Amino acid sequence: MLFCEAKFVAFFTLLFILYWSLPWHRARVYLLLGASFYFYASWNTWLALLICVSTTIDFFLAKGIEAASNPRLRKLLLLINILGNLGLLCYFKYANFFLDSLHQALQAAGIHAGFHPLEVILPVGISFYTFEAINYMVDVYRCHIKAERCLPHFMLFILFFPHLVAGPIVRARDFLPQIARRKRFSWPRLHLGVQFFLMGLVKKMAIADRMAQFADPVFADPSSYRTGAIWVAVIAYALQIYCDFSGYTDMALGTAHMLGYKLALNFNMPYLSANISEFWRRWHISLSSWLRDYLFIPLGGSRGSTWLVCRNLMITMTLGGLWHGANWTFVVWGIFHGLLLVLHRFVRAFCKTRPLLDSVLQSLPGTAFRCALTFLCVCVGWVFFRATTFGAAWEVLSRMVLASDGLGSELHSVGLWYTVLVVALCHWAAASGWWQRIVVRMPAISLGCAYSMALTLALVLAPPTGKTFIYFQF
Amino acid sequence: MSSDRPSSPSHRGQVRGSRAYISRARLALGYCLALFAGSQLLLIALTERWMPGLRDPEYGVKQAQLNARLSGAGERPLVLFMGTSRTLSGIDPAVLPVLSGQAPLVYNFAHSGAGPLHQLVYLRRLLQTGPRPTHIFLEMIPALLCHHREARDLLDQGHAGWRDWGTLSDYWPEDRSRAAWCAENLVPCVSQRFSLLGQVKPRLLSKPQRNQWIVWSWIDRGGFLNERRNAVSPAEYEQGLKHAHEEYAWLLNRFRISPVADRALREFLAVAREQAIPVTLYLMPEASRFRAWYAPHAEAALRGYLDGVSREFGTTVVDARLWVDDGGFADGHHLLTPAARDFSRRFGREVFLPALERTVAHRRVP
Repeated sequence: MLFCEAKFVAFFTLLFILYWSLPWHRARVYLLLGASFYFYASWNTWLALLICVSTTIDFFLAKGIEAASNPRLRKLLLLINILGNLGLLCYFKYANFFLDSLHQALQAAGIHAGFHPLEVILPVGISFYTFEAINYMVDVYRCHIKAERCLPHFMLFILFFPHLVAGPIVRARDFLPQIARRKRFSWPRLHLGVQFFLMGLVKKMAIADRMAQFADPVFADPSSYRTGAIWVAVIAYALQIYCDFSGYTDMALGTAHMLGYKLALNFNMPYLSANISEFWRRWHISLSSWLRDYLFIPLGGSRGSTWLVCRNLMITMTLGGLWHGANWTFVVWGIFHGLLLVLHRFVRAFCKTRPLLDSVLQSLPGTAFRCALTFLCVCVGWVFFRATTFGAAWEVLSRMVLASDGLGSELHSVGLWYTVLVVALCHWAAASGWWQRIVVRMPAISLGCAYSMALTLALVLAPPTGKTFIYFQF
Repeated sequence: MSSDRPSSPSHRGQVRGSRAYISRARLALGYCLALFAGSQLLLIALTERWMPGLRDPEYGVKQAQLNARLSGAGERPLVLFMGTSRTLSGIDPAVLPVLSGQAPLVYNFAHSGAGPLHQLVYLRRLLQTGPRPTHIFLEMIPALLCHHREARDLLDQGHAGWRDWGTLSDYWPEDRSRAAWCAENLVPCVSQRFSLLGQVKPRLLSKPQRNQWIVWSWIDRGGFLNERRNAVSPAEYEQGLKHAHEEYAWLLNRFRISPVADRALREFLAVAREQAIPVTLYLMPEASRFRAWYAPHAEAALRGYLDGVSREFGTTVVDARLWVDDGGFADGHHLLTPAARDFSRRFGREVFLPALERTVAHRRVP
């Protein structure tokens, strides 16, 4: 069940009415829990049961950690939990990848061993709820939060359907108090939720799915396309992945708001970043901050020698890449971003000692140049992210640089340029504060008209076959 | 993030629970719902009443042209050619011979991929809204007589509207939910989005969809699809033939008249008989390689079936499959423009004129 499907609209409408009709807070929590289970079970009932079991174990382990006075026992329980969660993630997501890689390495060494892939289904959203469970455990271990006393509340924290399958990765310290708090229906809150939901719908259906029509055929067979079409496909993919993922997040935020919950913002106009470090503060913020808090900082963070910091950055980004998918192309994407972050540290240090160069780079044209360069670097990274093999990635990159002949884009490129223009204008309107100023002054009828037009636009521009969200596979 | 209240600066003001904000939020959502529902109702009304082309663009193009022709035609009787893309690009009304006396207005009302059920839907639409034809030449395409999923195609393509519901109710596919169809058609901006985009900005459509819109712009005032294709290269011919093979060979290989197509054809002929509209059935030319895809038993089965229908409804059946040499085809079953004109002339002489003369003679008999 996808957020942009009619089935979801029916499911959510019914849930919304039932939820706000119930006068008892506890009943609402149980209703949300049941609805979240149903939502996940619509993909696979057994995997929904698996999450429930693993969540129950996490709940009792956390209570055990809190109750234990022996530091060794606490550490042991934390270790059991982390290994258990990562074990599940590795089994479902990475087992075949590791086995296949081992098999290929053995073959390269001249050793022939039989390889039979495991027949496992990847549970949707496993990477997200694994990280949520780990952050809860670590926070309980570090005594940053108290272990949750109520199992249904804890299960709702993990299973809450708006964030279950593709984030944002919520923190227990932010979300558990919201579950405990009694909710009151609020029209402004519903209005806000609808705004978010519509924005996500437009991003997903009118932009991301349309951009996929430019990108998909080219990435499926890059050797058949000419240089212009390759560039169009790469730019289209950059827009697709941003609008797909941030669109999903907006819809998640919107549905959560309509039910009286608040999820963390996950994107903040990342393509306006003037450097790669800023990009990671604006892109998939909940993952970047998780990696920072639970991996980069425990590794030593920015303290220590330059070499150590670079090492920490590389480890964090490589694992971040691997988190995205069980393929070496994702690992290379992570390494590429790690290298960019390291390079950025050196360039920043270099510029700090040269005030003239620094002031040129900080000026408006300099900032525009840095934004364009960052976007270009991010696009190069997306080639590894999107391509299924290194051969395909290489073909795309080489055709981007060397003028090549071949087929043109499947769609008229005017669609892409319109989209780029609209996205750029929206970014400008949001960044300059113009949008916020105008929205609060708009009369209700204009707002209603704008929402209705946005909804119509999203539905009319949706391509014939809707695509699942890209981040569902992670 | 510790609060469950949204705190982003852009919305902080809105979420404050003052009466003005509450009322504004409620009104904005109410207007949104009302305007969206209103726009969908308006679209339904437009599609069903005034702009059928929004739902079925090819039908819309043809109906608009036909109405334009009729507006200046006075009381001239109307003769329609109904069929598939073979007729669309194969019969040019401009070169048909003219009947002495009151010359009828002849219009090529063929639609791409339209089998017997499509024809039945179109005939009913014409009878509902006008104009009423005085004679119909109806193409029989053997492959589509074997096709049992035509109702599903019609529904999936979104070409069937609320007013076709009655016609389609007897043909409704078992695996297609009526409730789902109703739900889809209540939101025309979803079910008709390609037609809407095509009307507004065809450049935003994918290549095959865009090409369809371009093709429709080539339909001349007689309804003939004038592609101005005088010849095709051997490679283009082979490619076209391969495409035709994928589309039709499997149906012709196991030739069996579909009960759905049979029922639709009989209903079409029954409606025409009821309305006193004479119908002439004809088969369009096919190249030798195309004909080779028929199963050995197909010839006898087809002949037997059409003879049966002809006897039952008193219609004439003309088999013109061998009338054009292999060099006259673009892909084994669609005619090149010069061949189409030659074929139309011969058809006019040997079929069209005698059939109309019979109709006129029949009408004169008290």
